[in-house]
Amino acid sequence: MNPKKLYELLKKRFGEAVISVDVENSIPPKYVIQPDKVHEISEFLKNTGDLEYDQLMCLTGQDLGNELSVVLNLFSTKHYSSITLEAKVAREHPELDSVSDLYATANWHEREAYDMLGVVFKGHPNMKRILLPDDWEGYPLRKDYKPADAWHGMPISKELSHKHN
Amino acid sequence: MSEAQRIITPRGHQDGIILAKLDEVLSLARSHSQWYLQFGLACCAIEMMATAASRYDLDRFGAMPRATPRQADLIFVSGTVTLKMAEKIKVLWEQMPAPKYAIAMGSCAISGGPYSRHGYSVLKGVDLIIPVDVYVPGCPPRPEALLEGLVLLAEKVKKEKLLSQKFSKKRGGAEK
Ligand code: SF4
Repeated sequence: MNPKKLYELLKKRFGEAVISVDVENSIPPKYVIQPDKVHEISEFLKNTGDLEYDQLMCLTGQDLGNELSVVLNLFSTKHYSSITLEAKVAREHPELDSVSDLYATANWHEREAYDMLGVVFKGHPNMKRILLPDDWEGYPLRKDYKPADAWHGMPISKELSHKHN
Repeated sequence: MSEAQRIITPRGHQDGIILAKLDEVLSLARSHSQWYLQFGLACCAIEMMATAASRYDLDRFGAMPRATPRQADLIFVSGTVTLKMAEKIKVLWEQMPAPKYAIAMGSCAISGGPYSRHGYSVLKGVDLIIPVDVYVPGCPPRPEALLEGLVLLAEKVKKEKLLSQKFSKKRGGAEK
């Protein structure tokens, strides 16, 4: 479906929850939406005939500075079309609904976004770290992240002078 | 004169009797039979697999891959040691029976490699947690380099006198 038309369709259905569409600077077109409506909008996109975005290609988190954002890349295997959804969440309170019940892909991708940026996905069946150890502190892909000196007695950021000299 | 001929002096070999120092025979045998624990961690592991496969044929040096630390004399730490994995390496190392050896393969295992400055989750060299015998530099090292590392280790093993020095209580030797 034509991106402008899809935008109008979404706007008509979800009103304020659909904030903008970017066609010029984004391939595929990017729809910015409210974080509390991510699940509903994805469900609509997945289950509506003519759209049928049945595959989640990727889900990523980003640190935009003032806020965090979550980006979903959806693809329709039937209509061979892809779109991007972006939901911005507050840095202090990064929470949104999980789409892992709609797309199985989301399970691990959401855990990665949680691991790296601390975005919490409500309703996720197993919301814990996926790559880093469970007792890791902090979220390394946040721009203000400072690594600790050591983890379980193993040095991390300390200058290893005996090695590098 | 080959190494074996130097160590083993045939005496009256018609009766099948040979005389040799047990220590030297043991070390000679060990140096030609270094069973290694399969332990691939990152891109370097691909080169280690290539070294073990038919073209470079690590087996001809007596190095056989083992799938359990209990049967291994040697561990190739081939690749990036993340902190999460470092704890497991330590456990595996402690499960290996002495005498045991470690080869750090690639820049990552030696010093953190490309992650040495900003890798928040990477251990900056496996020698921070286990003693390393041979360092094989490269990113990744070619199979020939790993072969050379193994041969260097064999040289080291050959010189060891386990019974008279390392494990003897009288001389205060402790296991490695
Ligand atoms: S040393 Fe290079 S090739 Fe080896 S694991 Fe590290 S990055 Fe990969």
